[in-house]
Amino acid sequence: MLKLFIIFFRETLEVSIILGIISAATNGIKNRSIYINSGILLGALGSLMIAYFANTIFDSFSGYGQEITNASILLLCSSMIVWTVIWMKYAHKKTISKIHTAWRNKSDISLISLTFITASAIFREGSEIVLFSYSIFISTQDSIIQLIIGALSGFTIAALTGFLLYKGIIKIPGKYLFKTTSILLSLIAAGMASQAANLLQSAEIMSWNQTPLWNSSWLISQQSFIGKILGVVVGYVENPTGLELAFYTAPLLVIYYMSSRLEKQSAQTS
Amino acid sequence: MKRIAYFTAILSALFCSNAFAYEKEIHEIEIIKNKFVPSILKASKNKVLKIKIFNRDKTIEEFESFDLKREKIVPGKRKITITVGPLKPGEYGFFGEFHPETAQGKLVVQ
Repeated sequence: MLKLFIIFFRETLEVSIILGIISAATNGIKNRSIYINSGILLGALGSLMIAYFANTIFDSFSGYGQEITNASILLLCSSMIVWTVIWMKYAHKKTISKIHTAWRNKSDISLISLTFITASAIFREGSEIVLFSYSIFISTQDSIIQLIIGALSGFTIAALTGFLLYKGIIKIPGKYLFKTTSILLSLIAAGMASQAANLLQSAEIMSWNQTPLWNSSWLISQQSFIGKILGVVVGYVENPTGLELAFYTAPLLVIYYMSSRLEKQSAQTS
Repeated sequence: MKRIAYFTAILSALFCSNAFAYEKEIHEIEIIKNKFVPSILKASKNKVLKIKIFNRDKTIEEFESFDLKREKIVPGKRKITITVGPLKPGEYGFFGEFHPETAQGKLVVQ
């Protein structure tokens, strides 16, 4: 029971933090909850699918199916977030230039990215939870009720953390709220990309540059609670390799470049 | 066109450079009753290490190591392989994320 509690808490905390930030970033956008909720549903179904086909997936790509699947999901999710951040900046500019609420109603296509981000954030951890719960279920002496209590309480506390984070962020006054959420989302995207780099290295697809550049575990250990939270939010890794660092900076550079271009464009048109 | 050719050349150089430069060494670990057997693994420095992990239990495990920067699920009754290195001499801890109280081990590189 305790085991399921810990696993459910740990695995859902990451998703919950990401969802909290995304919800805060899209606060006030019409219909956004439909898109986020369908993402959650899609993510849950996808997790079950991945878990069901786990052995087939894991055996593919000469045994590196696990790494390659996860890396693809992470890269997809990261680029979606990058796209959303740039789009949000653009939409935000428009609001300021008095075209105001129009974008809130007409941006349904862009909102589909929210569904994808939510779903892909859930896929990975979700399928792990399913696999683990199943394995506990077939091997434990605990009763089903005990298992359900453990799982549900872990899940609830993680969800609550995300919800409190959301409530906390939206308290930030308007102008800064937008800045805060786009910075947080950019860092999440960067962290996901660098995680993907690590997986590509693990799968021997990019096998150079394996030596860590530094090791800051003496300062913040990745195993500590703070290290874990920082891992989700800013992509903290105690011993990053060159490739991971390169992948980390790529989304940030794209966001910076695209938003400064948009800024120039809007300066020219007005 | 020239640019693409350069780019491909650099990329393929990067891909191939490390892959063939080091000797490989194969190791095996088993997971029995949520423990790593053997829990201490000795390996040589400056070699690419392929570690095969057999899970003899019905329960799922996740091989995880912050020192080796690896994380991989080992379903019950299955085998996975992780590749690390070349490594510098030293000790690299690893553990089973789903049973950390029993599944602990380390790789000693000499």
